[in-house]
Amino acid sequence: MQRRLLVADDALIIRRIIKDMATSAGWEVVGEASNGQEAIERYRELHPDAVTLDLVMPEHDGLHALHGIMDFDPQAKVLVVSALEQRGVLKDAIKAGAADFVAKPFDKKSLQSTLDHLLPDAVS
Amino acid sequence: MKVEYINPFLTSTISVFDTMLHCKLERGDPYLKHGTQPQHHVSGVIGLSGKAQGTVVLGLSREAALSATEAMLQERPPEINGDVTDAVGELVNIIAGGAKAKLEHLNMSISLPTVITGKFHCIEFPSKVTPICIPFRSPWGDITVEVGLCERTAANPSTATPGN
Repeated sequence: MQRRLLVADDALIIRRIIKDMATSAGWEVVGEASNGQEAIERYRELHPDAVTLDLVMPEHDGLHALHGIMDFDPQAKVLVVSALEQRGVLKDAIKAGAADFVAKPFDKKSLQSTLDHLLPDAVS
Repeated sequence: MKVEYINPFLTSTISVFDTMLHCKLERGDPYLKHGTQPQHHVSGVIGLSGKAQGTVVLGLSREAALSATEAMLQERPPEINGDVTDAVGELVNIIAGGAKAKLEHLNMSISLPTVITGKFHCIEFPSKVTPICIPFRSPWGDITVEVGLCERTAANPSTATPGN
């Protein structure tokens, strides 16, 4: 069974890079979101196995999304993919339940490896 | 502009090109930029504001912009198109974000990036700022990063308003 991924980032090109990487690694990208509120809504609707989440997004940011997703599903696997602009925000994300973190700029192989570690027992 | 503001942009640019694009940059000697003569075909422009304010410009030749986009998307754009402007905008955004993290004491915010294309475009910095230009050599052609930052003071709170 394919692992199902939701990709949340306000930059279209970053969503494309993550989608291409995940698809070639055997994930099914079931949805995308470009702000925090949309990420929550898409998570509730799609029930993905994992989420990649940018913290710096307009309107409702990634922390808003992380809290909303973890409230809905405390077992959610959320991989934060974000710039290290604000270290405090990263600490808040880990406290809020983020499973792991990949800093931008990222290497696609590192991102894939970190993403695969979120669901090590899944069959791709 | 304080020289210590330059290093974070220099190291961030090298890191972004190496990590995301697998492109090794070789830096040249920084110099002061005078006038508004264009140097490159594609410019990614981003404003910074906080205890220091100003503008950062990532300039790429046509070939470098196309190759950078190809490295990001695994697909070469046939021309300078929306994919290229998205790619260059995101590159300057991540470069500025990385530098900002190293200049935490300036408490700066980053604007949305703007990308300007065309052979004869000019980027004008505020008159009170003389930007420092860092040239890089890459396998794809020349790349520059121009940084014009000015600390805000109580006497002069509006110096270095980002402009392009």
